[in-house]
Amino acid sequence: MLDNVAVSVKDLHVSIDNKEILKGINITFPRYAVTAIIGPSGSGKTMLLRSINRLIELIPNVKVSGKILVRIGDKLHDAYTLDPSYLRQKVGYVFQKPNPFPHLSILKNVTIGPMLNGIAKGKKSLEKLAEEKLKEAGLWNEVKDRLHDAAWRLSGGQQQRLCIARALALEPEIILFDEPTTGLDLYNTKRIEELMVRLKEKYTVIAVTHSVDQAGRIADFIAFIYNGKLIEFGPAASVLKSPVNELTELFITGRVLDGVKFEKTLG
Amino acid sequence: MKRLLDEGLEKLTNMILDMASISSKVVKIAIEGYVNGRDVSKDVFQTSNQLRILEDEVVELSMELIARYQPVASDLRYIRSCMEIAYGFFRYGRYAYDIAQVLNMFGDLSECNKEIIQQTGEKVCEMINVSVAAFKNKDVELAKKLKLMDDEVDRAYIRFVKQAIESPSSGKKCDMATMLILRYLERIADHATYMGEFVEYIVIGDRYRK
Repeated sequence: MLDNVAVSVKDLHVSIDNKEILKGINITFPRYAVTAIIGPSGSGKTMLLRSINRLIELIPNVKVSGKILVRIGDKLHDAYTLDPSYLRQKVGYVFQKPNPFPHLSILKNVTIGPMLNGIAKGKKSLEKLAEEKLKEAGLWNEVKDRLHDAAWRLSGGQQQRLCIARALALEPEIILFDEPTTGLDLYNTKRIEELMVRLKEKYTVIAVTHSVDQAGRIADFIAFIYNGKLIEFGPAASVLKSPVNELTELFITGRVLDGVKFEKTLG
Repeated sequence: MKRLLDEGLEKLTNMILDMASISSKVVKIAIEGYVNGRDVSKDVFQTSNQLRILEDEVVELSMELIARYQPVASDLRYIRSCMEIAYGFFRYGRYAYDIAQVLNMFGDLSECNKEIIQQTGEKVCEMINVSVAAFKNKDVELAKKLKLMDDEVDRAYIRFVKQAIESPSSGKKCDMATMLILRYLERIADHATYMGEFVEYIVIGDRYRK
Protein backbone atom coordinates (compact mmCIF):
# COMPACT_ATOMS: atom_id res chain seq x y z
CA MET A 1 0.00 0.00 0.00
CA LEU A 2 2.70 2.48 1.02
CA ASP A 3 4.63 1.60 -2.14
CA ASN A 4 2.01 3.54 -4.03
CA VAL A 5 2.60 6.71 -2.05
CA ALA A 6 4.83 9.38 -3.57
CA VAL A 7 4.04 12.22 -1.20
CA SER A 8 2.07 12.18 2.01
CA VAL A 9 1.00 15.49 3.48
CA LYS A 10 -0.27 15.46 7.04
CA ASP A 11 -1.99 18.33 8.80
CA LEU A 12 -0.06 20.95 6.84
CA HIS A 13 -0.49 24.51 8.05
CA VAL A 14 1.25 27.41 6.34
CA SER A 15 1.13 31.04 7.43
CA ILE A 16 2.75 34.06 5.88
CA ASP A 17 2.93 37.21 7.99
CA ASN A 18 0.65 35.45 10.48
CA LYS A 19 -2.02 34.97 7.84
CA GLU A 20 -3.00 31.34 7.52
CA ILE A 21 -2.76 30.21 3.90
CA LEU A 22 -3.04 26.44 4.28
CA LYS A 23 -5.34 25.23 7.05
CA GLY A 24 -4.55 21.64 7.87
CA ILE A 25 -4.14 19.87 4.56
CA ASN A 26 -4.08 16.08 4.53
CA ILE A 27 -3.47 14.45 1.19
CA THR A 28 -1.62 11.50 -0.28
CA PHE A 29 -0.25 11.80 -3.80
CA PRO A 30 -0.07 8.45 -5.60
CA ARG A 31 3.18 7.34 -7.19
CA TYR A 32 3.60 7.17 -10.96
CA ALA A 33 0.42 9.10 -11.57
CA VAL A 34 -0.53 12.63 -12.54
CA THR A 35 -2.37 14.49 -9.82
CA ALA A 36 -3.82 17.86 -10.72
CA ILE A 37 -4.41 20.41 -7.99
CA ILE A 38 -7.24 22.73 -8.94
CA GLY A 39 -8.90 25.63 -7.19
CA PRO A 40 -9.59 29.33 -7.58
CA SER A 41 -6.83 31.92 -7.41
CA GLY A 42 -5.58 32.44 -3.90
CA SER A 43 -6.86 29.11 -2.62
CA GLY A 44 -3.39 27.85 -1.70
CA LYS A 45 -2.59 25.52 -4.63
CA THR A 46 0.86 26.90 -5.29
CA MET A 47 1.66 27.10 -1.57
CA LEU A 48 0.86 23.42 -1.24
CA LEU A 49 3.11 22.63 -4.21
CA ARG A 50 5.93 24.77 -2.86
CA SER A 51 5.63 23.18 0.56
CA ILE A 52 6.48 19.79 -0.92
CA ASN A 53 10.00 20.74 -2.03
CA ARG A 54 10.35 23.50 0.56
CA LEU A 55 10.57 26.31 -1.96
CA ILE A 56 8.12 27.91 0.42
CA GLU A 57 10.97 28.54 2.84
CA LEU A 58 12.29 31.18 0.47
CA ILE A 59 9.27 33.35 1.28
CA PRO A 60 9.95 35.78 4.18
CA ASN A 61 7.95 35.38 7.41
CA VAL A 62 6.62 31.97 6.51
CA LYS A 63 5.64 29.42 9.15
CA VAL A 64 5.12 25.78 8.25
CA SER A 65 3.83 23.04 10.52
CA GLY A 66 2.68 19.49 9.90
CA LYS A 67 4.47 16.73 8.12
CA ILE A 68 5.38 16.02 4.52
CA LEU A 69 6.80 12.64 3.59
CA VAL A 70 8.35 12.24 0.14
CA ARG A 71 9.40 9.03 -1.51
CA ILE A 72 13.01 8.88 -2.52
CA GLY A 73 13.93 5.41 -3.67
CA ASP A 74 12.27 2.79 -1.52
CA LYS A 75 11.66 4.97 1.49
CA LEU A 76 9.46 7.82 2.55
CA HIS A 77 11.50 10.63 4.06
CA ASP A 78 10.46 13.58 6.14
CA ALA A 79 10.95 16.42 3.66
CA TYR A 80 11.75 18.88 6.40
CA THR A 81 14.69 16.89 7.76
CA LEU A 82 16.36 16.44 4.38
CA ASP A 83 18.96 18.79 2.97
CA PRO A 84 16.84 21.27 0.94
CA SER A 85 19.17 21.13 -2.09
CA TYR A 86 18.99 17.35 -2.18
CA LEU A 87 15.20 17.49 -1.71
CA ARG A 88 14.82 19.93 -4.61
CA GLN A 89 17.01 17.72 -6.77
CA LYS A 90 14.73 14.77 -6.11
CA VAL A 91 11.55 16.81 -6.22
CA GLY A 92 11.87 18.94 -9.34
CA TYR A 93 9.85 22.10 -9.92
CA VAL A 94 8.70 23.60 -13.18
CA PHE A 95 7.54 27.18 -12.86
CA GLN A 96 4.61 28.90 -14.49
CA LYS A 97 6.91 31.11 -16.54
CA PRO A 98 9.76 29.33 -18.32
CA ASN A 99 12.98 30.31 -16.58
CA PRO A 100 15.94 28.83 -18.42
CA PHE A 101 19.34 30.40 -17.85
CA PRO A 102 18.89 32.72 -20.82
CA HIS A 103 22.50 33.28 -21.80
CA LEU A 104 23.64 29.71 -21.28
CA SER A 105 23.43 27.39 -24.24
CA ILE A 106 20.59 24.91 -24.60
CA LEU A 107 23.04 22.13 -23.83
CA LYS A 108 24.50 23.86 -20.82
CA ASN A 109 21.03 24.53 -19.39
CA VAL A 110 20.54 20.79 -19.14
CA THR A 111 24.04 19.78 -18.09
CA ILE A 112 24.81 22.42 -15.49
CA GLY A 113 22.68 20.82 -12.77
CA PRO A 114 24.07 17.30 -13.09
CA MET A 115 27.57 18.71 -13.42
CA LEU A 116 27.29 20.70 -10.20
CA ASN A 117 25.60 17.83 -8.37
CA GLY A 118 28.09 15.26 -9.62
CA ILE A 119 25.38 13.18 -11.30
CA ALA A 120 27.46 12.94 -14.46
CA LYS A 121 31.05 13.81 -15.18
CA GLY A 122 32.95 14.40 -18.38
CA LYS A 123 31.83 16.05 -21.55
CA LYS A 124 30.65 12.89 -23.26
CA SER A 125 28.56 11.55 -20.44
CA LEU A 126 27.04 14.99 -19.83
CA GLU A 127 26.17 15.33 -23.50
CA LYS A 128 24.68 11.85 -23.53
CA LEU A 129 22.60 12.72 -20.48
CA ALA A 130 21.46 15.97 -22.12
CA GLU A 131 20.39 14.14 -25.26
CA GLU A 132 18.45 11.61 -23.20
CA LYS A 133 16.67 14.28 -21.15
CA LEU A 134 15.94 16.52 -24.12
CA LYS A 135 14.38 13.48 -25.80
CA GLU A 136 12.32 12.76 -22.68
CA ALA A 137 11.16 16.36 -22.72
CA GLY A 138 10.21 16.07 -26.40
CA LEU A 139 12.62 18.80 -27.45
CA TRP A 140 15.55 16.92 -28.94
CA ASN A 141 14.40 16.92 -32.57
CA GLU A 142 13.85 20.66 -32.46
CA VAL A 143 17.21 21.57 -30.93
CA LYS A 144 19.68 18.82 -31.82
CA ASP A 145 21.30 20.97 -34.52
CA ARG A 146 21.52 24.08 -32.36
CA LEU A 147 22.54 22.84 -28.95
CA HIS A 148 25.02 25.68 -28.55
CA ASP A 149 22.48 28.43 -29.22
CA ALA A 150 21.56 30.57 -26.24
CA ALA A 151 18.39 29.38 -24.51
CA TRP A 152 16.65 32.72 -24.95
CA ARG A 153 16.49 32.06 -28.69
CA LEU A 154 13.94 29.32 -28.10
CA SER A 155 10.19 29.95 -28.22
CA GLY A 156 8.21 30.06 -24.96
CA GLY A 157 6.98 26.49 -25.35
CA GLN A 158 10.46 25.25 -26.18
CA GLN A 159 11.91 27.11 -23.21
CA GLN A 160 9.38 25.42 -20.95
CA ARG A 161 10.32 22.00 -22.31
CA LEU A 162 13.97 22.93 -21.80
CA CYS A 163 13.17 23.69 -18.16
CA ILE A 164 11.52 20.29 -17.89
CA ALA A 165 14.61 18.65 -19.41
CA ARG A 166 16.73 20.57 -16.91
CA ALA A 167 14.62 19.24 -14.03
CA LEU A 168 14.77 15.69 -15.43
CA ALA A 169 18.56 15.86 -15.71
CA LEU A 170 18.75 15.95 -11.91
CA GLU A 171 17.13 12.50 -11.82
CA PRO A 172 14.15 13.49 -9.74
CA GLU A 173 11.49 11.11 -8.48
CA ILE A 174 8.72 13.65 -8.34
CA ILE A 175 8.12 16.64 -10.60
CA LEU A 176 5.98 19.55 -9.50
CA PHE A 177 4.44 21.70 -12.22
CA ASP A 178 3.05 25.11 -11.37
CA GLU A 179 0.63 26.06 -14.16
CA PRO A 180 3.26 25.16 -16.74
CA THR A 181 1.25 26.09 -19.82
CA THR A 182 0.23 29.60 -18.85
CA GLY A 183 0.75 31.90 -21.81
CA LEU A 184 1.59 29.11 -24.22
CA ASP A 185 -0.21 28.61 -27.52
CA LEU A 186 -2.42 25.59 -28.13
CA TYR A 187 0.32 23.58 -29.86
CA ASN A 188 2.82 24.05 -27.05
CA THR A 189 0.15 23.54 -24.40
CA LYS A 190 -0.72 20.16 -25.95
CA ARG A 191 2.98 19.18 -26.13
CA ILE A 192 3.51 19.99 -22.45
CA GLU A 193 0.31 18.15 -21.49
CA GLU A 194 1.37 15.08 -23.48
CA LEU A 195 4.74 15.30 -21.83
CA MET A 196 3.29 15.43 -18.31
CA VAL A 197 1.22 12.33 -19.03
CA ARG A 198 4.20 10.47 -20.55
CA LEU A 199 6.43 11.39 -17.62
CA LYS A 200 4.30 9.45 -15.15
CA GLU A 201 5.80 6.23 -16.48
CA LYS A 202 9.04 7.12 -14.68
CA TYR A 203 8.12 9.94 -12.32
CA THR A 204 5.32 11.12 -10.11
CA VAL A 205 3.72 14.26 -11.49
CA ILE A 206 1.87 16.82 -9.39
CA ALA A 207 0.55 19.77 -11.33
CA VAL A 208 -1.22 22.91 -10.26
CA THR A 209 -3.54 24.09 -12.98
CA HIS A 210 -6.16 26.80 -13.16
CA SER A 211 -7.87 24.94 -15.96
CA VAL A 212 -10.39 22.23 -15.14
CA ASP A 213 -10.26 21.18 -18.80
CA GLN A 214 -6.54 20.67 -18.55
CA ALA A 215 -6.93 18.69 -15.34
CA GLY A 216 -9.39 16.49 -17.22
CA ARG A 217 -6.93 15.90 -20.02
CA ILE A 218 -3.86 15.08 -17.97
CA ALA A 219 -4.82 13.92 -14.49
CA ASP A 220 -5.36 10.49 -12.99
CA PHE A 221 -6.38 12.17 -9.75
CA ILE A 222 -7.75 15.59 -8.94
CA ALA A 223 -7.42 17.52 -5.69
CA PHE A 224 -9.67 20.53 -5.22
CA ILE A 225 -8.34 23.14 -2.82
CA TYR A 226 -10.39 26.05 -1.60
CA ASN A 227 -9.61 28.63 1.04
CA GLY A 228 -6.56 26.72 2.25
CA LYS A 229 -8.44 23.46 2.68
CA LEU A 230 -8.60 20.27 0.69
CA ILE A 231 -12.24 20.03 -0.31
CA GLU A 232 -12.15 16.92 -2.46
CA PHE A 233 -9.67 14.38 -3.76
CA GLY A 234 -10.37 11.42 -6.01
CA PRO A 235 -9.95 9.77 -9.40
CA ALA A 236 -10.19 12.44 -12.09
CA ALA A 237 -13.10 10.85 -13.93
CA SER A 238 -15.25 10.59 -10.84
CA VAL A 239 -14.44 14.10 -9.61
CA LEU A 240 -15.30 15.51 -13.03
CA LYS A 241 -18.45 13.45 -13.59
CA SER A 242 -19.89 13.29 -10.10
CA PRO A 243 -18.07 15.41 -7.53
CA VAL A 244 -19.10 14.61 -4.00
CA ASN A 245 -18.77 18.10 -2.58
CA GLU A 246 -21.05 20.91 -3.66
CA LEU A 247 -18.17 23.39 -3.68
CA THR A 248 -16.31 21.21 -6.15
CA GLU A 249 -19.42 21.07 -8.31
CA LEU A 250 -19.75 24.85 -8.23
CA PHE A 251 -16.12 25.44 -9.04
CA ILE A 252 -15.62 22.95 -11.86
CA THR A 253 -18.83 23.93 -13.60
CA GLY A 254 -17.67 27.55 -13.61
CA ARG A 255 -20.54 28.81 -11.52
CA VAL A 256 -18.09 30.83 -9.47
CA LEU A 257 -16.86 33.32 -11.97
CA ASP A 258 -17.93 36.33 -9.97
CA GLY A 259 -17.21 34.56 -6.69
CA VAL A 260 -20.51 35.67 -5.18
CA LYS A 261 -22.43 32.42 -5.18
CA PHE A 262 -19.33 30.49 -4.17
CA GLU A 263 -18.73 32.65 -1.14
CA LYS A 264 -22.37 32.47 -0.11
CA THR A 265 -22.34 28.69 -0.30
CA LEU A 266 -19.47 28.60 2.15
CA GLY A 267 -21.78 30.15 4.68
CA MET B 1 -24.18 35.46 -13.88
CA LYS B 2 -25.47 33.24 -16.64
CA ARG B 3 -22.81 31.07 -18.20
CA LEU B 4 -22.52 30.65 -21.97
CA LEU B 5 -23.23 26.97 -21.45
CA ASP B 6 -26.50 27.78 -19.67
CA GLU B 7 -28.01 29.13 -22.88
CA GLY B 8 -27.19 25.88 -24.65
CA LEU B 9 -28.61 23.84 -21.78
CA GLU B 10 -31.83 25.85 -21.87
CA LYS B 11 -32.16 25.18 -25.58
CA LEU B 12 -31.54 21.49 -24.97
CA THR B 13 -34.19 21.43 -22.24
CA ASN B 14 -36.74 23.07 -24.54
CA MET B 15 -36.03 20.54 -27.26
CA ILE B 16 -36.52 17.69 -24.78
CA LEU B 17 -39.80 19.18 -23.57
CA ASP B 18 -40.99 19.54 -27.17
CA MET B 19 -40.18 15.90 -27.76
CA ALA B 20 -41.96 15.00 -24.51
CA SER B 21 -45.13 16.71 -25.64
CA ILE B 22 -45.07 15.21 -29.14
CA SER B 23 -44.24 11.69 -28.01
CA SER B 24 -46.85 11.52 -25.25
CA LYS B 25 -49.49 12.66 -27.76
CA VAL B 26 -48.47 10.15 -30.38
CA VAL B 27 -48.60 7.22 -27.96
CA LYS B 28 -52.06 8.31 -26.88
CA ILE B 29 -53.23 8.62 -30.49
CA ALA B 30 -51.91 5.15 -31.32
CA ILE B 31 -53.66 3.53 -28.34
CA GLU B 32 -56.93 5.35 -28.98
CA GLY B 33 -56.71 4.46 -32.68
CA TYR B 34 -56.45 0.78 -31.82
CA VAL B 35 -59.20 0.87 -29.20
CA ASN B 36 -61.56 2.70 -31.56
CA GLY B 37 -60.60 0.62 -34.57
CA ARG B 38 -59.32 3.64 -36.46
CA ASP B 39 -56.29 3.52 -38.76
CA VAL B 40 -53.94 6.24 -37.54
CA SER B 41 -50.75 4.73 -38.89
CA LYS B 42 -50.10 7.46 -41.44
CA ASP B 43 -50.19 10.28 -38.90
CA VAL B 44 -48.30 8.26 -36.33
CA PHE B 45 -45.64 7.42 -38.90
CA GLN B 46 -45.09 11.10 -39.66
CA THR B 47 -44.85 12.01 -36.01
CA SER B 48 -42.53 9.11 -35.37
CA ASN B 49 -40.23 10.42 -38.10
CA GLN B 50 -40.41 13.88 -36.61
CA LEU B 51 -39.25 12.43 -33.29
CA ARG B 52 -36.34 10.72 -35.04
CA ILE B 53 -35.26 14.05 -36.52
CA LEU B 54 -35.63 15.80 -33.17
CA GLU B 55 -33.60 13.09 -31.45
CA ASP B 56 -30.85 13.66 -33.98
CA GLU B 57 -30.98 17.40 -33.31
CA VAL B 58 -30.71 16.83 -29.55
CA VAL B 59 -27.64 14.65 -30.08
CA GLU B 60 -26.09 17.24 -32.41
CA LEU B 61 -26.66 20.07 -29.96
CA SER B 62 -25.31 17.93 -27.12
CA MET B 63 -22.16 17.19 -29.09
CA GLU B 64 -21.77 20.87 -29.88
CA LEU B 65 -22.10 21.83 -26.21
CA ILE B 66 -19.52 19.23 -25.22
CA ALA B 67 -17.13 20.40 -27.93
CA ARG B 68 -17.56 24.08 -27.16
CA TYR B 69 -17.69 24.15 -23.38
CA GLN B 70 -16.17 20.87 -22.12
CA PRO B 71 -18.88 20.53 -19.47
CA VAL B 72 -18.26 18.52 -16.33
CA ALA B 73 -20.18 17.29 -13.28
CA SER B 74 -23.93 17.98 -13.29
CA ASP B 75 -23.67 19.80 -16.65
CA LEU B 76 -22.08 16.79 -18.29
CA ARG B 77 -24.53 14.39 -16.65
CA TYR B 78 -27.41 16.56 -17.81
CA ILE B 79 -26.24 16.55 -21.42
CA ARG B 80 -25.66 12.81 -21.43
CA SER B 81 -29.08 12.27 -19.89
CA CYS B 82 -30.75 14.50 -22.47
CA MET B 83 -29.29 12.34 -25.22
CA GLU B 84 -30.60 9.18 -23.54
CA ILE B 85 -33.98 10.71 -22.83
CA ALA B 86 -34.30 11.95 -26.41
CA TYR B 87 -33.61 8.41 -27.55
CA GLY B 88 -36.39 7.25 -25.23
CA PHE B 89 -38.83 9.69 -26.85
CA PHE B 90 -37.76 8.52 -30.28
CA ARG B 91 -38.50 4.94 -29.18
CA TYR B 92 -41.95 6.04 -27.94
CA GLY B 93 -42.63 7.19 -31.50
CA ARG B 94 -41.46 3.90 -32.97
CA TYR B 95 -43.58 1.83 -30.57
CA ALA B 96 -46.57 4.07 -31.22
CA TYR B 97 -46.14 3.33 -34.92
CA ASP B 98 -45.86 -0.40 -34.17
CA ILE B 99 -49.12 -0.19 -32.22
CA ALA B 100 -50.80 1.68 -35.08
CA GLN B 101 -49.56 -0.98 -37.51
CA VAL B 102 -51.33 -3.80 -35.65
CA LEU B 103 -54.68 -2.90 -37.17
CA ASN B 104 -53.11 -2.91 -40.64
CA MET B 105 -51.54 -6.29 -40.04
CA PHE B 106 -54.53 -8.02 -38.44
CA GLY B 107 -57.43 -6.27 -40.15
CA ASP B 108 -60.73 -5.93 -38.33
CA LEU B 109 -60.34 -6.42 -34.57
CA SER B 110 -63.66 -4.95 -33.49
CA GLU B 111 -64.66 -8.23 -31.84
CA CYS B 112 -61.66 -8.22 -29.51
CA ASN B 113 -61.83 -7.28 -25.86
CA LYS B 114 -59.70 -4.15 -25.64
CA GLU B 115 -60.12 -3.46 -21.96
CA ILE B 116 -56.62 -4.56 -20.96
CA ILE B 117 -55.08 -2.41 -23.69
CA GLN B 118 -57.12 0.56 -22.54
CA GLN B 119 -56.13 0.08 -18.90
CA THR B 120 -52.44 -0.59 -19.59
CA GLY B 121 -52.38 2.22 -22.14
CA GLU B 122 -53.68 4.65 -19.54
CA LYS B 123 -51.05 3.47 -17.09
CA VAL B 124 -48.31 3.90 -19.69
CA CYS B 125 -49.52 7.39 -20.62
CA GLU B 126 -49.46 8.25 -16.94
CA MET B 127 -45.89 6.95 -16.74
CA ILE B 128 -44.90 9.17 -19.65
CA ASN B 129 -46.39 12.18 -17.88
CA VAL B 130 -44.67 11.27 -14.62
CA SER B 131 -41.31 10.83 -16.35
CA VAL B 132 -41.63 14.22 -18.03
CA ALA B 133 -42.67 15.91 -14.77
CA ALA B 134 -39.77 14.26 -12.93
CA PHE B 135 -37.37 15.50 -15.60
CA LYS B 136 -38.84 18.99 -15.66
CA ASN B 137 -38.65 19.40 -11.88
CA LYS B 138 -35.58 17.22 -11.33
CA ASP B 139 -37.74 15.30 -8.85
CA VAL B 140 -35.96 12.13 -7.78
CA GLU B 141 -38.79 10.88 -5.57
CA LEU B 142 -41.27 11.15 -8.41
CA ALA B 143 -38.80 9.44 -10.74
CA LYS B 144 -38.54 6.51 -8.35
CA LYS B 145 -42.30 5.91 -8.59
CA LEU B 146 -41.81 4.96 -12.22
CA LYS B 147 -40.15 1.71 -11.21
CA LEU B 148 -43.25 0.65 -9.28
CA MET B 149 -45.54 1.66 -12.12
CA ASP B 150 -43.34 -0.27 -14.54
CA ASP B 151 -43.76 -3.39 -12.38
CA GLU B 152 -47.54 -3.06 -12.75
CA VAL B 153 -47.25 -2.86 -16.53
CA ASP B 154 -44.89 -5.84 -16.58
CA ARG B 155 -47.30 -7.86 -14.47
CA ALA B 156 -50.23 -7.02 -16.77
CA TYR B 157 -48.25 -8.15 -19.78
CA ILE B 158 -47.01 -11.38 -18.22
CA ARG B 159 -50.45 -12.18 -16.81
CA PHE B 160 -51.97 -11.84 -20.25
CA VAL B 161 -49.30 -13.96 -21.92
CA LYS B 162 -49.81 -16.73 -19.36
CA GLN B 163 -53.54 -16.52 -19.72
CA ALA B 164 -53.30 -16.66 -23.51
CA ILE B 165 -51.17 -19.79 -23.27
CA GLU B 166 -53.22 -21.55 -20.60
CA SER B 167 -56.72 -20.61 -21.68
CA PRO B 168 -56.73 -18.87 -25.05
CA SER B 169 -59.75 -16.79 -25.95
CA SER B 170 -61.93 -17.84 -28.87
CA GLY B 171 -60.12 -15.52 -31.25
CA LYS B 172 -56.45 -16.36 -31.73
CA LYS B 173 -56.09 -13.15 -33.72
CA CYS B 174 -57.27 -11.10 -30.75
CA ASP B 175 -54.83 -12.79 -28.40
CA MET B 176 -51.93 -12.17 -30.76
CA ALA B 177 -52.85 -8.55 -31.40
CA THR B 178 -53.33 -7.85 -27.69
CA MET B 179 -50.07 -9.57 -26.82
CA LEU B 180 -48.16 -7.53 -29.39
CA ILE B 181 -49.59 -4.25 -28.23
CA LEU B 182 -49.02 -5.09 -24.58
CA ARG B 183 -45.43 -5.88 -25.47
CA TYR B 184 -45.01 -2.45 -27.12
CA LEU B 185 -46.62 -0.76 -24.12
CA GLU B 186 -44.35 -2.69 -21.80
CA ARG B 187 -41.32 -1.42 -23.77
CA ILE B 188 -42.58 2.17 -23.59
CA ALA B 189 -42.94 1.73 -19.84
CA ASP B 190 -39.34 0.51 -19.69
CA HIS B 191 -38.13 3.64 -21.45
CA ALA B 192 -40.16 5.84 -19.11
CA THR B 193 -38.43 4.03 -16.23
CA TYR B 194 -35.00 4.64 -17.77
CA MET B 195 -35.90 8.32 -17.97
CA GLY B 196 -36.61 8.25 -14.27
CA GLU B 197 -33.20 6.70 -13.68
CA PHE B 198 -31.58 9.47 -15.68
CA VAL B 199 -33.35 12.08 -13.58
CA GLU B 200 -31.68 10.53 -10.56
CA TYR B 201 -28.37 10.43 -12.43
CA ILE B 202 -28.66 14.13 -13.21
CA VAL B 203 -29.42 15.04 -9.62
CA ILE B 204 -27.15 12.79 -7.59
CA GLY B 205 -24.74 11.32 -10.11
CA ASP B 206 -25.87 7.75 -9.72
CA ARG B 207 -28.58 5.71 -11.35
CA TYR B 208 -31.48 4.04 -9.64
CA ARG B 209 -31.04 0.83 -11.64
CA LYS B 210 -30.10 -2.06 -9.38
